[in-house]
Amino acid sequence: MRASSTRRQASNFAIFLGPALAFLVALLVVPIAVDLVVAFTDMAQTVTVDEFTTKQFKKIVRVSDDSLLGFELRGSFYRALTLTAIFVFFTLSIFNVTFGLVLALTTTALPDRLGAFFRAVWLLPRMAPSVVYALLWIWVIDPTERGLLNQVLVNLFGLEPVNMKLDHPMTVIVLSNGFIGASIGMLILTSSIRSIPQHLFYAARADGAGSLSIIRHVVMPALRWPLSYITVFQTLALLVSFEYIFLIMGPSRSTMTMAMLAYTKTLAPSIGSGLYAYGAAITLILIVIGMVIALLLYRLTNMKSLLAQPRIEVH
Amino acid sequence: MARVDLKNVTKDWGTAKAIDDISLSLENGEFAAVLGPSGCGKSTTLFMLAGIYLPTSGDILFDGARVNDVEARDRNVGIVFQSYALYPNMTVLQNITFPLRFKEISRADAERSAREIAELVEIEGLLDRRPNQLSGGQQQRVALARALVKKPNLLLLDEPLSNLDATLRLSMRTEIRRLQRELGVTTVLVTHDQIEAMTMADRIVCMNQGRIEQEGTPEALYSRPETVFAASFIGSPPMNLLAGEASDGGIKVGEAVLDTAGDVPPGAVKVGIRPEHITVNGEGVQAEILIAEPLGRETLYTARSVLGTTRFLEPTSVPRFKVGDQVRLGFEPEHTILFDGNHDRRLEGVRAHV
Repeated sequence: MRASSTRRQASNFAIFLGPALAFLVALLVVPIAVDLVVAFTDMAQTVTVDEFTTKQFKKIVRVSDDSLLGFELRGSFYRALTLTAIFVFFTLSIFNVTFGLVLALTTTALPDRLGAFFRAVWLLPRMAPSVVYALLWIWVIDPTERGLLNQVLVNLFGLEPVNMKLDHPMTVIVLSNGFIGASIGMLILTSSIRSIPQHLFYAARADGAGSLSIIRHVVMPALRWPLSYITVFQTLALLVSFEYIFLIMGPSRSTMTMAMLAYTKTLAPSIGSGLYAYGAAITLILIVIGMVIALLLYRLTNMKSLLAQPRIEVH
Repeated sequence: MARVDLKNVTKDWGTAKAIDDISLSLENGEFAAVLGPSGCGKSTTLFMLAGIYLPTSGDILFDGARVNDVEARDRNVGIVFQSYALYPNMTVLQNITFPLRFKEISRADAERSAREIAELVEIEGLLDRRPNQLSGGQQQRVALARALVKKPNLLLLDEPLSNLDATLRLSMRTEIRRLQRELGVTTVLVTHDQIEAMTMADRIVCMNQGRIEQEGTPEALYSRPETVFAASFIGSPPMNLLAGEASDGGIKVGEAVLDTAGDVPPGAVKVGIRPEHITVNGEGVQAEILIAEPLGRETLYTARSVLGTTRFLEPTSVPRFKVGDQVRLGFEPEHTILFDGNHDRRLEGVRAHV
């Protein structure tokens, strides 16, 4: 009796959770494990492993015995680290959180249809294929007078044309990623604002609050949790994102973030790829950074207290 | 405290008329209840008084001054919502002092007023709690304190008791009435519960489909309903309304003919009689008991006779009759009310009896 119920439990577990577990393991755990292993090998273009070694990490912390190449690799790693920090910080703080919040606040304050229209406009880049979106950016920032930006600068303001790619490369990738990233924050925050009971707004108005006070005392407190969520989630997403950077800037050294570096050193064809172990080491560092940031933000945003038990006393 | 007037106020939502030309005056310090079924426009009226909705036409006056263009935050109106609408991120004390932030009052004075009002509604021990740590009744009191702390011109109560359990509702009813008397604040209560309206208000405004059906004291609405709607909406169990046809020979209801007193114009009429005004086993028509429902202090019967199906009340806690029993039912003629069957309005000075 007992044995059969245990067996039944085991088979239920396998039937109901098995597929999901297999999926998680195959797509999330195995790649990290592979990355972990490869990071401690000397795997290169030939895709063979001759020895297990920590030399990939040594390349990063000090000038290695491979002299010139090692020196170059160390330099590009620290540069990538700085560029990643700049890219994530500015895209996140200016666009994904702040601009997403502004969009949510303004579009919910508009009449319903108009608000929905503007939200749809901001969603368009997400619906377009990334290549199309990237092409549009390339056209906008084209350094010749064909570029949209330069047409505006030259024809409308009589200014000199600018070469954004050359002079402000980080601005280009922050803007292009921000314009597309703001829409996620906008959607989540819009639905959070919508879920605030209408009576709370009425009460605040009757209590004498103006628009800014209502945003401060009614809306913002309700957005604490979604804002924390967006911050954590988008930080992790931006850390590893390189799609638009690669499509718009190519393997340019001026925008070589960690994710870009890992990609170009391993999988990008014909641009010095094939350093699989080195790329895996960078990726491993990126994973560790992501975990640390996630834990830190979890603490900072105090999610624990948001889940506190109510103390109800009926009388 | 203020005198409040509504003059020919209408409110349209697109093509739908929510409020259709209502006029109403509230004396300073009066407690009025706006009573009606869901969708009758009572909450719309309340939100127009608060300044949250703007009337499509007509005027709203506080102490004789037109306030149509005055924003909600400048009207000095306190509202208690059905959901209480407390700010979840603030403590009870912060909730109560919130309206005072926007007035030129020092922090210390604001806190003193909040503590005074908290004492008045008996929540002085809960000031550091947050709304999710309070029971429904406690939240209700906090909402009242928040509405009263700024000494409002007008207190608006939007179905304030409907989320409370029956016992608590009873005590909050008296409590709110006591507070209102003590503070003398002009108050409008919106409710679909006629008992709430009858027990709390000086005056009831009965609304239906965006119009005022009747206004008056609770007694007047109960004993002299002007329309069939008011007659059927007020009173529990509801008034019996029997459709009939008046002619020189009396009123034909079902297969019976009722005698009349007074000048009943010929044509369709409705005869109204409250369940407690039906006499049992005196003069009257033969009836069979269909349902007997003991209500505690009294028993409600449903009976079938030549008049149709009627309900009557008997002041006995143990039912005197069983289902299937035969009784004789008659009307107390002075309590019968006749309505014009075409316009559903009361006919003056006429009576009917079995």
